[in-house]
Amino acid sequence: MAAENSRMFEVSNIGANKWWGEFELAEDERRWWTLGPLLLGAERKQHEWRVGYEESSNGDAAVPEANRAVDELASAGRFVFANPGPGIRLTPALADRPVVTRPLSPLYLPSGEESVLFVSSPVWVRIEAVEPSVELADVPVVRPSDTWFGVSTREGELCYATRTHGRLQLENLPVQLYRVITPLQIVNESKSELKLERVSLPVPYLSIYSSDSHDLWTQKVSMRCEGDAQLVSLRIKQRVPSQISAAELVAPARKEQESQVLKRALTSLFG
Amino acid sequence: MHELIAPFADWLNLERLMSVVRAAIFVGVGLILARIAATLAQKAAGTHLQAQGAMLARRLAYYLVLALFLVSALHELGFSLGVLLGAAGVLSVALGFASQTSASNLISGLFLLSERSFAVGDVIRIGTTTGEVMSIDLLSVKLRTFDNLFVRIPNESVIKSEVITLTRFPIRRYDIQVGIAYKEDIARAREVLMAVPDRNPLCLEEPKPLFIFLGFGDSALNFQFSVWASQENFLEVRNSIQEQIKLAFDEAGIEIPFPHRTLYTGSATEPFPVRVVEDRDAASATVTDVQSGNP
Repeated sequence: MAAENSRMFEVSNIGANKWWGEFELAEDERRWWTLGPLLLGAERKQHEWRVGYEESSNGDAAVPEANRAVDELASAGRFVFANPGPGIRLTPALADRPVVTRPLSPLYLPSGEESVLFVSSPVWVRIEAVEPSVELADVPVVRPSDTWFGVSTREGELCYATRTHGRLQLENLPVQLYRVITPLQIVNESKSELKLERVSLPVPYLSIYSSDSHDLWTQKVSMRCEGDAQLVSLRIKQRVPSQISAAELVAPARKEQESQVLKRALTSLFG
Repeated sequence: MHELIAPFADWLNLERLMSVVRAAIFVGVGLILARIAATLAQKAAGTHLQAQGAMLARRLAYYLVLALFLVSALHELGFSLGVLLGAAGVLSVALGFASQTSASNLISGLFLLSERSFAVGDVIRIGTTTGEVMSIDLLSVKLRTFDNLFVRIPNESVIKSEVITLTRFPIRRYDIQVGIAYKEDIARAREVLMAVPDRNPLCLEEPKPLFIFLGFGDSALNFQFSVWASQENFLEVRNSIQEQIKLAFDEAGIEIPFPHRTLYTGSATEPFPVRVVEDRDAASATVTDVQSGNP
């Protein structure tokens, strides 16, 4: 009964397929999605939604098994509703903490220079029931490593870590599955050379836009380094990034920013 | 019956009655006002101080106001406060000697609160006791240990001894002592070890894990491998990283040796001469003899 109703979605290439959107499930119908190593399953019952997810242990692409129940997944939950509607929605989202990106080799920006760096951050998947509108799951495609970003081990904040090639040209960006690209503009207005070893991107304040080829982008973030090379002011542009055409807002930011400018330490030193 | 009540009735003339009533009113009003003052004090202190300070302010206000009204009531009843104060003076000297430790605990408690080296909710270690601070009271600090025991530590000992606040900073380093066999390659072992926290998302990527060569030990090459984790994940990292290190070493074929003892015969390094003595013939001979009946 459930086996015939389960459909599998294979997503092979970012830009080729759009994995997010609204789907309709009949009662007792089960549906699977694979996003890289993440396996997602959802099942609609008369008075509940069953949602589960599992990450494949070796990091390879997940493979759903036909007769597996959603309940058997490593993380599964049952959400009880009086009258659940048939719609379920998958939306991309950004990380819930700032993301620290470190270029594979340090970048030096001389005084007076400016540059735009393309940095990618991991994508989260949000599963919501459409009617009533309730969030059922919020899970990363690949759980990134925790890291600490701060001037010392006493002060700072817990972030996610990612490595970046720090591409300066759009054409050189490698095709990365399930990542969101942020154009980062760095302006060095100080008198000394800027050594870029790590940058903390305020990802919870960014929104996701989709290009016409279904690539995921955020707004441009501008980083101005003035005077003291330790402190920079970050500004999030409200406009759609200019690098993509026909951008469509796919997901709003997780958090509203109180002010336009956020101060952040550019480099962090550990004692 | 009438003779018993009569002297009492004589004493209880109108004036006395009025003063008793007045005294009772004082006490009643005092209780109410003390309660109000306490609530106000707690509210006012709640915005400026922590829960501990607010409770202290509440108690202080209550007893102060109540004491004032009680003293007025006593005065109404005609007790001479001078005599009372005199007696109190002598009593307080005696009490002072008796309550030296309590006074010391009280003062230490006030200093502890103002120093704020730990607060309610922190996990501290004093001597061998580790626990979560439940309250910092006037005379003592109350802890709940992780095996759910209640520990009362006098403030005096807290002030005098070393207190480790485990949860003061948001991240914590976990040091692992590991030894590998002398025959292993140190560089390869280091590579294998450094790859382990990369696979564990709860280990912080920065500050980077530390690999320190401690020395050439008796039985193994001793290293210290340290990983950082956030306070919430510390216990989980502590358990999972040890498992993962063992697995990684097993997969790479790196041996963690047991303690070794090498025996030498004097100054020579030749092996011990060992002679195997066959006792089986003698034993079976005895058995045969027994069976045949011969001794």
